[in-house]
Amino acid sequence: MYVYDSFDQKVVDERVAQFREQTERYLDGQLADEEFLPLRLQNGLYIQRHAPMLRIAIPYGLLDSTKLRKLAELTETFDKGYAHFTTRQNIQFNWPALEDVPDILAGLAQVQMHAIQTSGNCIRNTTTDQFAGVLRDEIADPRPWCELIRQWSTLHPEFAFLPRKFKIAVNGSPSSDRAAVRFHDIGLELVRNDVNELGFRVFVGGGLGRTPLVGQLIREFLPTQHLLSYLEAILRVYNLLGRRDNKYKARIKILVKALGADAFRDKVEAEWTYLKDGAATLTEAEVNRVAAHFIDPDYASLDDADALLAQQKVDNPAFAQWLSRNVHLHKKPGYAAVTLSIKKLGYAPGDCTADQMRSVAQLADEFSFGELRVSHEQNLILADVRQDRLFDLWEAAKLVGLATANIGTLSDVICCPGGDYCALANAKSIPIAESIQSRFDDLDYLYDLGDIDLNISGCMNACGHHHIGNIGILGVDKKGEEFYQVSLGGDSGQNARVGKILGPSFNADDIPDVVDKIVQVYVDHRHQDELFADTVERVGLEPFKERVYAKSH
Amino acid sequence: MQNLIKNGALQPDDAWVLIVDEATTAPTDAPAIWPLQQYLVQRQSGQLSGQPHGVWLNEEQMVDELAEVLDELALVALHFPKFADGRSFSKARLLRERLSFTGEIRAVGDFLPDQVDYLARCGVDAFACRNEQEANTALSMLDTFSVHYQSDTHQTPLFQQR
Ligand code: HEM
Ligand code: SF4
Repeated sequence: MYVYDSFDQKVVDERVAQFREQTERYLDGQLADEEFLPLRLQNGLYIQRHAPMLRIAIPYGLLDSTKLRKLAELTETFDKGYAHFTTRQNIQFNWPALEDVPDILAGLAQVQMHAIQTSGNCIRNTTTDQFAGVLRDEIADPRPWCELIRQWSTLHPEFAFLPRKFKIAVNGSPSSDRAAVRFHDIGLELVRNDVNELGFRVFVGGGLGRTPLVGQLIREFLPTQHLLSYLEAILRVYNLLGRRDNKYKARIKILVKALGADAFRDKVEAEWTYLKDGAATLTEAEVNRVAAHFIDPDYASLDDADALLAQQKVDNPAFAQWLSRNVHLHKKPGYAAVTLSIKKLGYAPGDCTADQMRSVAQLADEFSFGELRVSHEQNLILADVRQDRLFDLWEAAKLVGLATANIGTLSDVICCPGGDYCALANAKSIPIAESIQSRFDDLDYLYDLGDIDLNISGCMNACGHHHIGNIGILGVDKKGEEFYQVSLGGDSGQNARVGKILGPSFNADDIPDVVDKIVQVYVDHRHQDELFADTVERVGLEPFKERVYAKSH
Repeated sequence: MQNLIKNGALQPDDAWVLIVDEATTAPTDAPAIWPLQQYLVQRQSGQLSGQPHGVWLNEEQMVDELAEVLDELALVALHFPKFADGRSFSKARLLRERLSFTGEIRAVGDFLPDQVDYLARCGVDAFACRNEQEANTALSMLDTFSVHYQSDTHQTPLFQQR
């Protein structure tokens, strides 16, 4: 995990002082609402339906037990004792008082955390794969590159007032993309060229929201030392040419679409000829300095515990289920990565109480070198667990309600806060998630259905990534009433695709039935071992439409 | 111009006159900051005075439109119609770093005191603030941060200093 030196610490400390002063100026009337707005947003502070909302960065999803305990303490001191893990590897406090925010930020700074640029029209928290650094097939660990991007983008003087928000994601594994890089303003994929040098494939112009688009490849190979100068070139072209007349057309995806990917690439390359080899060119010393923070923990030298696990599975079918759903292959023999599900029935997806945070911190200390990760699916990961201790971990996690064996299934719902919290919502989303989760609470049935991404957003902004769910649900407003539109076939990975809308929208009450029917059509049509997404791809929407919209006889 | 910060201090006696549009009378005995189009026209017809020349760019005008005349200019002003429009940050850098402009770059219009630190790092060296209070606030915010990660028009990136 990256550890701040005195420079990094100074930046966050001075940022807290700056925001304290800005808040004071706002409270005594020197700053107008609209002037305070971009300043507070760049410190993660929204004014929401019920109260301010504070979004705190978890850079590339990495946390440790000290940070998590601090978050627990801060939610208790300044909020209602729980917080919300988001789809962007951030955590949100839902009810802080404006006056307390500088103190919250000061508390975060004590544990090397911040809320810098978690909102506003600037470069946001860079995201990555929650299994970064522990995968067998990884080309290189994306986290050092994420940290380099974090530093470069933090308080960047040129790019703090962009036409619109800007999101970057990095992926390091050739066989899977858990960071959804093709749905980011810039997506970076680590690759090696013919002569085994490390570089990036660069995608630009992806994103969800009102105009969901898959990013376009603008560079096959960018040598790593040029990462920051190339990002600078893209951002500069966007800052100068991006639309500013209409906030819905201001994202870089609209610019890339309007110019065409080739013309956009030409502009970036032209800009880059001036920046290439300039001041932003990374030095080997710096790359090594940052990378040294992400070396492997002190792994024991072990063999895979196949025999032990096989016996434990026989003795304990529930443990076997948990292993198959929540435990992930690790590059290091004898280790595993574990997902702790915070998608228990009765809890809003992503919500986490201070007690749960402390429990997870405890588990991280006991089982995973004190570190953990946050996934964009809104779960928590212990990435370095000894296989011979998985059973102990499972028992300990069960005691605190974090061992629901539903990862990747229909009940592992990704969901935005929707109408219960969010001022922009057209409809509620948490109760919809809950109604589906309670309909599909039979684990055996869920296992039979296999992997299905279900994503719910309360409005077009797509905070719940509904476009890229295999099943996506979107809250819509019709004459003041809440309805839900369903789409099928979205995919956030290497086969990046936006889901297609099934047809007319539904009442909240009908949604569990609708999802049930969709699932039945899949069960009827699937080939052996065929995943839901593949069946949808093969048979198309028609059979689903027929069943879902069939008139009852 | 009142409430001007230049080179890190308040400047009470600034001689430049901002010509907002054709309705503003051009001074004969003081240097003027012209709208770009108007400057080009005056220049074409040989009507420019012997005073130093300045030009201001609106938010749509890009710095390459200045390429031909930049050598004649002592000052380029960048106009903020709204503080949220961040194009001038890039334009200032381009003026300094690409076009090697060494004259004054002045921010005018609706920018915030909270932006002057960033603008200064992008190469802006003068700020025509909206009122006295803002000028004082801006002055106090010029060095909010003692550490900067990125290179700017004054500094190499932090990683070269670690
Ligand atoms: C409760 C306060 C929230 C507000 C006011 C809010 C607002 C917005 C807005 C306005 C957008 C659209 C931006 C655009 O299309 O350009 C957006 C997008 C997004 N939000 Fe939120 N949001 C909130 C909470 C959340 C939460 C809790 C999550 C995660 C669960 C989240 C994750 C996202 C994501 C992933 C997108 C991106 C869609 C894309 O890729 O374009 N937001 N949000
Ligand atoms: S999708 Fe809409 S309702 Fe949901 S959190 Fe985002 S802005 Fe709010």
